Amino acid sequence: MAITVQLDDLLHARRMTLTQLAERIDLTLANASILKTGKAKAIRFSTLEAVCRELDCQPGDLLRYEPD
Amino acid sequence: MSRTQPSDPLLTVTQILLRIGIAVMALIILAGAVAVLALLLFPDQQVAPQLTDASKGTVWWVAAGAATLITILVLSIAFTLNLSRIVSTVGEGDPFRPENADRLDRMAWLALATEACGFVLMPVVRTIASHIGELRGDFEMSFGGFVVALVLFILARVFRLGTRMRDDLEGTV
Repeated sequence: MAITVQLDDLLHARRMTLTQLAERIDLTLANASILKTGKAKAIRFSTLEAVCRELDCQPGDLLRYEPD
Repeated sequence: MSRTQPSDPLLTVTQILLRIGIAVMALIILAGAVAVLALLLFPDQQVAPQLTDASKGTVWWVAAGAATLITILVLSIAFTLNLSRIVSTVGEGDPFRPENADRLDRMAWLALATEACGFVLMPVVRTIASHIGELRGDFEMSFGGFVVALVLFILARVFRLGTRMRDDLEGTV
């Protein structure tokens, strides 16, 4: 997919595990994993907002457009 | 994805009724086939003398009517089997599948075919009734089957759309 999720890099930079993030943003670990591995088809604004709040980042830091 | 739901009494009752319906229709097909065969093979028997009146060819009309009726019942069994499978998927908690959209499409075509057979059966029954002197009242045309088919075609599209929407929802985090 042309949109890639940079969650792995952000988590690494913040020294946070996926489980911790999932707990803080009230997302199931399964869904957090789907987001991290780029398998998600869509992301809710509420999830994006929560991720940006916890990782102190902008949506553009999390999502990147890479032409196929 | 398969989700198990607590059993719904309505679904259980529906499944039982559908299976009874299939069994009854299968029995009627069998009995009808045997009766028509007997009528054709032993026309001299006086069980139904009016029906075997060779001068009017009534027996052949009866055979044609029975064949059409058996066809309608076979189509009805196929319809009921498809419905039963859809009810099963509702029981499993996952009715929005592409297979169910296909089943609804098949049911719509089966309803159309049944209606078409009805149009064939009506003049046959009218002819038999006139031969045996039992022509009473009118045989009215009913377009209910066409309406059912139309509704099923629309429902098939609803299910296809529902399946796509569910897939999208499942990929949303």
